[in-house]
Amino acid sequence: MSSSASRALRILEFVAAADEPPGVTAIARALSLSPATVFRALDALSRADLVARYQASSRYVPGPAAERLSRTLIAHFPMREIALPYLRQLASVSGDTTSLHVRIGWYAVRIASVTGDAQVTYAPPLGGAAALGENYAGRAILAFLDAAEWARYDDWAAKHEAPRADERDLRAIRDEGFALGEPQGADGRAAVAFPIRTRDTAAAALTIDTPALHVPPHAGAYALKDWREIVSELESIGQSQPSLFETPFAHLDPDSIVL
Amino acid sequence: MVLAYRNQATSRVLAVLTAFSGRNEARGVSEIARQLGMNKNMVHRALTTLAAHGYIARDGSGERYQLGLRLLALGGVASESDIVTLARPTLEQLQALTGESVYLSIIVGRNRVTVDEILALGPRVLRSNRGYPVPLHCTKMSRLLLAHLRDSEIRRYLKAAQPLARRSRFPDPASETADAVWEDIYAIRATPYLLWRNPYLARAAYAIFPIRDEQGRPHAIITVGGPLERFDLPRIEALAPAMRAILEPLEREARLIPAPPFRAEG
Repeated sequence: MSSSASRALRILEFVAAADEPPGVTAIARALSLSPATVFRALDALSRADLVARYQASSRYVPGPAAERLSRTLIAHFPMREIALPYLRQLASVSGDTTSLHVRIGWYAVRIASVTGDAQVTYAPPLGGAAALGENYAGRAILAFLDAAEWARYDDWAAKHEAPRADERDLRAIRDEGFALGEPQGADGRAAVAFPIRTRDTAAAALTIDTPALHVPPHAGAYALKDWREIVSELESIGQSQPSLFETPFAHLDPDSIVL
Repeated sequence: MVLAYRNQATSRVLAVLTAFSGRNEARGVSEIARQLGMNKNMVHRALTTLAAHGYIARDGSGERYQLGLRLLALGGVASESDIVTLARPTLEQLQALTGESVYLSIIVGRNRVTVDEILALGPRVLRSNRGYPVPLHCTKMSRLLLAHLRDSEIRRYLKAAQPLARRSRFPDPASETADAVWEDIYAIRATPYLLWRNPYLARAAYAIFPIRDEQGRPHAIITVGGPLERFDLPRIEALAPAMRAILEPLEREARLIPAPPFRAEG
């Protein structure tokens, strides 16, 4: 696969993944291509609006067509539209940023987010993927899969250098009904993730992404009850109509998905 | 010549990719070929290249193509420009104009939920109940959201919400039977916005404005409420033209976005 189109697609991936907008020379060096080749590919990508110049410089960022395509993909998840009002409700009860993460393969992918109105707000980008063992969102999903799936995840994680499943941690999450992020700040509050279960699996997680809950929960326990009610309302939709909570990638073998 | 040819091939592949933009369903080769004026062979080759890089994937049927997971990493898509963000400047202006409390409420499941508010200083009319659910047929504010759903949606709601009678702090006769709810809905629909004084809570008055989409379905309501000694009905009526002028840009913007689907069973 060394056609000019393949090179253009690799360049697009590189531009999207770069921390800083790269220029022609940086791209050429990183992908072992000639600057002339990179220049021609960027020209084709720019004409398709898939890349754009960063603030009129000679460096590149993903263009409006790339964002439109990402939005189109994210809109393919019917769960998103259904969950948004509940995310807003949870954000207004807690004052914090809330998100919906869906399970795709062995990853949790953030497909919706509503910004809270607390003093320090945080607006995470959509489309971010993390292996299920990596953070609270994924662990809330993983904990409610069955033991055979834990073993499958663990094999996959070993192969892909992802965080392994810690059975004791997952059982604790199961007992509590939610997963916590790392406690932060002087009063030790943590972000919270609730699983969204359909009939036979955990399809997603609803998270409060800013440190919202005391660890261990005490003063926050009253709030926790309100949050759980909101989550269980959303969950009841998935339980009566599991197809609404399916992703467009449900037909793929989870082991084959690498993000 | 060689260069021009190569670039053309690249452009064709990129055109096939962008042909998926804004499409809700999986697409077949012939359909894309027709749209782009290419032959099926070219489209097929382009799809193969795109699939090899994860930009496109076969759908569940195996016959058609959908956007691939690679796109997730592509956009750096910012979070929602949702009704709360859109409405915030309007709430601020309404609060500045009236000096009273301003609330933004949306439908969540079968309830009205206030998701944003700016509270007045001094005496206020509502205890802040942000985030807490009130059934869609209970209270005037709720019924203003209910009234702008489609008739079929309202019928499904009224069926799912049985029994309607609910004990509340103040009597709300219009919420007690389906007929009473419908009667109030027709009254609400006859006016562009609502001035409301709860006869059982004599010290308060409200102006409630629906924010709707092109089809007239509800995104949200904005409520301005104050104690009667400051905010009586004549004063609200005097302020109404200025309030409506403030609401106009938000109403225009909201018309362009379809209001969320309503799920009575939810």
